[in-house]
Amino acid sequence: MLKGFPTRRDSIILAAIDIISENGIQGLSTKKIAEKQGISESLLYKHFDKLDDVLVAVLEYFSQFDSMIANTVIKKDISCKDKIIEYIKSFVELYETYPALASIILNYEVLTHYDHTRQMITEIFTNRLRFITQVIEIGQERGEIGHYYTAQELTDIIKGIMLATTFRWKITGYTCQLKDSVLTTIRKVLETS
Amino acid sequence: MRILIAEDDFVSRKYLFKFLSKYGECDMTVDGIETVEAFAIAHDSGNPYDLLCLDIMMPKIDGLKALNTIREIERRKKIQDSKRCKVIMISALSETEVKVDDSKKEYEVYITKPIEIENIISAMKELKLID
Repeated sequence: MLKGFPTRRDSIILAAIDIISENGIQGLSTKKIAEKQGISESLLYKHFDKLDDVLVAVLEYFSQFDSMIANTVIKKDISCKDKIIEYIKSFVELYETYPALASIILNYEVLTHYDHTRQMITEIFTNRLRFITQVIEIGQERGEIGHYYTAQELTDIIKGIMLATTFRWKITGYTCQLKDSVLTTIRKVLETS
Repeated sequence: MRILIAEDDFVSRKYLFKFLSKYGECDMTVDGIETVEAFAIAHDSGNPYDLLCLDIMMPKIDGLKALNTIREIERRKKIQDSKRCKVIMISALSETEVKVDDSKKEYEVYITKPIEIENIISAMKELKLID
């Protein structure tokens, strides 16, 4: 390992993500992070005042590209269906190669029980949903997407596909192709909507 | 020419490898940590990379952070700017969204996905890596 890279702060965040993936958020503790890092808990506290702050940093890391992805996709000269596919693809492509990070989306509900993360996870989840809903609404106005489902219903179906497929992918030992499975199903739903 | 392809997506990585293998010896990494390590090892063994094709949204450490460390390694080794590794960022994110100040840009060329071979060729020509 190169000295000073990754930084201690980044290493703590990455270790926390691994622990959440292996043991769930309830299994995350400063002791476990320190053990995984081979450092003392007091050194960890030089970078984070408390465990809640580590969780906040994990969520910042988890959502660091969100607005960039949304702004990139919305400006693309492609159909609304393709914008939704591109948007979802940006996330699942990263999760497929970084399964531990995907475990965060399977912990949305748990994160609402912590004071420090409740608002943050709500905003992350809501913003991601809102983007999809807005693109669907534009697609429906343009006649690119049908009106069988409302934009909200279709958003819930798309998000549900992503969450359920990610969960199936995890419990089957990451054996299926996450990106292909999610995108193929969402494409079918959009084509038949 | 020695080339490092830092790309987590299997299809893009294979595509770049197949194309770039015509121009030199290619190595591949799949996350930011591996990329910096591969870069440092190549330097330490006296066989540095001439070209780095670098994705941004990669597992663990992102491409931009990895690149900052790579440039820091080059600075520590007192490598002149003209002789440093040429870097082509290849990302699904548009360059305007990544918002790197011109003065802080550590890469030479930015290409937005989907990957088009013509864009890679044109970038390599611009960097005088091929004629």
